Amino acid sequence: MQRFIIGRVIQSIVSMFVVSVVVFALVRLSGDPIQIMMPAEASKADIELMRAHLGLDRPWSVQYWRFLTQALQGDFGRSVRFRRPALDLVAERYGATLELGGLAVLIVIVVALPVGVYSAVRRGSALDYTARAFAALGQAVPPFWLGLVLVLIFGVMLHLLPTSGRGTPLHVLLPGITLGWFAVAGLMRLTRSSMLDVLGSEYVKLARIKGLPERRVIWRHAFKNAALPVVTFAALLFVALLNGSIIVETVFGWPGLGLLVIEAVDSRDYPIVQTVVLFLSAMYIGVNLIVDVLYAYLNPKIRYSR
Amino acid sequence: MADPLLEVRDLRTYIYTRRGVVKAVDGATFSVRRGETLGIVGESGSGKSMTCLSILRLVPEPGGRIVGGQILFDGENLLDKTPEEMRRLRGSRIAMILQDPMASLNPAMTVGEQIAETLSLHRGLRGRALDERVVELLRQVRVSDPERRVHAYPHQMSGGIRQRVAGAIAISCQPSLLIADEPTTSLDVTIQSQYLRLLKEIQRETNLALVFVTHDLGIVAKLCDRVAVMYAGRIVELGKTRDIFNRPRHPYAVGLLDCLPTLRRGREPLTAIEGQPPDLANVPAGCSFAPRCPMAQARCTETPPPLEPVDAEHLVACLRAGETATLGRRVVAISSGSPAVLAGANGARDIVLEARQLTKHFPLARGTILSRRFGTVKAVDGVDFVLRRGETLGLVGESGCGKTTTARLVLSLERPTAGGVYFHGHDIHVLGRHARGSYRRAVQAVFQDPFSSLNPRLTIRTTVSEPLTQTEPDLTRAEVAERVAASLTRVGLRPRIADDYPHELSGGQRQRVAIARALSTNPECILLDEAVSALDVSIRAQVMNLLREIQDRSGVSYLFIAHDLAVVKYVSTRIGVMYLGKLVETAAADELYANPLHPYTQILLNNALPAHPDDARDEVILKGEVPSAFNPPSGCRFHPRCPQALPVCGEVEPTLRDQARGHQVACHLYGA
Repeated sequence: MQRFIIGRVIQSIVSMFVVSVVVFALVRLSGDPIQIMMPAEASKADIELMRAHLGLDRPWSVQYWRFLTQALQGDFGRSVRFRRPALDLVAERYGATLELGGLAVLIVIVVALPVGVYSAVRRGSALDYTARAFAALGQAVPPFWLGLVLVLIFGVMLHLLPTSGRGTPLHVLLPGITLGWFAVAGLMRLTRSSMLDVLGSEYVKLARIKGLPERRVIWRHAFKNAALPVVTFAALLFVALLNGSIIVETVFGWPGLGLLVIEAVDSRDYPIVQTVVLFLSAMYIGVNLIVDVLYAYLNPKIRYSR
Repeated sequence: MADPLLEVRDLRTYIYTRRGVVKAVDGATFSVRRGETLGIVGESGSGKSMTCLSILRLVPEPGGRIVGGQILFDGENLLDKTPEEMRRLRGSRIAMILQDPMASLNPAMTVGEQIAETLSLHRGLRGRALDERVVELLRQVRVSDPERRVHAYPHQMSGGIRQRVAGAIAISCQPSLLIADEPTTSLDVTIQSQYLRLLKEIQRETNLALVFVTHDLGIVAKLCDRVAVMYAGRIVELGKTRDIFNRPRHPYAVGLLDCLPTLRRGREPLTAIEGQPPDLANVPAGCSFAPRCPMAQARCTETPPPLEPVDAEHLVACLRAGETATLGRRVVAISSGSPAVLAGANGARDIVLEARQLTKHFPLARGTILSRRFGTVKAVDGVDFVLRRGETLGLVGESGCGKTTTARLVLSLERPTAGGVYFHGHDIHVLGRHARGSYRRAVQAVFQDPFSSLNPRLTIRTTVSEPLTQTEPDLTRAEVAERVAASLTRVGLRPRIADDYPHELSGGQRQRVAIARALSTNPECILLDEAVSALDVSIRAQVMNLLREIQDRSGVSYLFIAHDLAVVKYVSTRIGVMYLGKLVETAAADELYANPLHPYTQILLNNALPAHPDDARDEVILKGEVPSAFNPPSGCRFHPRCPQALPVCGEVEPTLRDQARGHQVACHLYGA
């Protein structure tokens, strides 16, 4: 197990390195930043001076090396628009996105898993049908529309919840639910079908033959095996959550990474875009690492085959 | 007569589906005493497993329900118990072993944890005492190195060992009733012998009542004191094993015994039971066997016959039970003479297919990016055989012996590492495109599982015509249709089914379609890879008779790969016994069975199930399991398990040498 984890950590570092190369290259391929930074009437000499000042006249390999070493020291360049270090800006917004994402993940875990499990166990019951109807709705309705409807109902009509910005704990509720709903739907359906498969298996039959209490049969014997595809899907969902957060943050004016990156792309603030992409990639790689380790914990075959 | 421990009276379990009510168990009556073994025998869908699950009150939900009858266990009706009372009973006083050891253990828990569960739940064991008991149980089911194995996961063990673990779980709380549902069906012959003996020993030590469910009459003959024969959800005959084997009274039981290929029996045709078991959602009124019964009369189709005594402890559900005592064995004529005689008469027939030093090694690699080769699996290692026109060559062996790899090599699905397969003298792996096409036409295959070997999205017509349109693209549509119809007729199917899909057919019909597909190109050779293993006894007899009939008429050669010695004997002219990638003995079929030379062949024959309780013999139980082909033993690959091993066996590898005419063996016991 230990060897497996070490191996996966090394792989993650390699992935992160590849991501940094891609991000570096993409940003430079998308246009000359000097053209955007300098006023249109700037002289050729000024442009050359600026280029030299930013080190953009050096070979790409040298530029990349500088980018990498600075990044490792926490220096991701300065935002063109805010004239502040990109890292500071990203760090400010990071908390907000984590808060929103955290609530969404919490909703997913608290709702999707137990409901998925029990709608499989009580297949054909009222719970099962209700849950599946909600899931279908969650997958069919786009988050931005759902967000608007929630705003309309809870904010405009009922005056129960704040609809925009970040402040009190209440502020996070509507965007959190909007973001979580979609993920809940997919994960619940997957949990249900995966549980149905496992509940029909011979080892679950044997667990019942052994006289185990139903709760133990479901959670210890069935769920642990049913969780494998669920965990895989959860990693994909995480990406969907990150993407979704961009839309949801826009709808609710939530000052998170999503909103920041939208603004940064608009104004071609490439150090910000670069930093956000790197951060999101790091998060994604990190989540994948966790998922793989979890997978190995759940499935002994993987643990021993490496 | 001691009081029965378990008494089942008129049990009825129905499954309510959208299609209607499936009467899975429709009047089962039997009893078992302590220390006794009752066999429940029947074909798939006869309600055996559902009967067992009903006893445990674990009928599948939703839809399944026990609608009538009584289950008396130790004097109490289990149907009156609360779910909680039933749960306490399960695993502690009534235990069960399931069929497939590969699927019945939880892959995410160590075997130790899985055994410990029942002990801590029902017996309250904790800590050291629990650990010690788990190890002790593994030792009791003869798992070697139990202290280490408790920490292993199921996937790290072979099927035989896993089934022992399932046995350990079953006996952990010293139950008084053990239900075993086909526990050895997926095990190899020698492993099955080990397991059946283990069950017997456990029964003797603990005075268990054992209910043994099986489709195999051989196991019944060997193991059971009494038998219940089930058909379409009902017990049709119940009695002492010897009585039922000697004087079966129900026409179905008579038929079952008749269609069993056995080692004792020669190659005379099997008497197949015509037709198929009824659809349980739509059981005929009256006796459910009546539509297939040679003795059926009009009154048989009116009311179901009750199970009534015909003799002491012998009950039969048949209106004509009074007349069946003298029924004897029916003989049904089947066309033509025996191909065994033909082949014997002319030893120099054309060689169709030949393997010369056929070898397939699979490299084993480790690592994802930089893979390093760290070993070789010698799946097939220098195999020679010859298949002549109109002959059947049987290849027998246990799992891991290289049968399937040989089949893949013959079908040119794999390239040999060395040696080759020769078709009319040409190496099939160096054929040009055109010649390869005609080879594909000349050599066809039928596989084990008719449920997965037919594409569910293609009609029977497409399936059967596909090899034809591939190999003879010039045929017109009418010609193709004609050939398809001819192929279907040849295998005893109505051409009308050509437009059906596989799911509309039964298992036996599907296997006939697979044979029709193979026949459609008029092949010279058909490879039959366990082609009858998945079929029920009565259907298997039909298909085996069909295969023989086709061979007699068309002179096609069969390469017949199987693990069941009796089946192989029935169809083969010559037989090769394989062990760990090597051919250890080849001989004419009769010669091999009459005079087996290699110790492994002797043990395989000895371990084969008896055809009659009187045939049950003291078997030689082989130590351990087939070793891995990854690192086969030095010298003779069988020597670590061989009861007659000599010092030389561990050092020098024996070669296949002639002992008598056409009888070759690779063993040091038979000097040059």
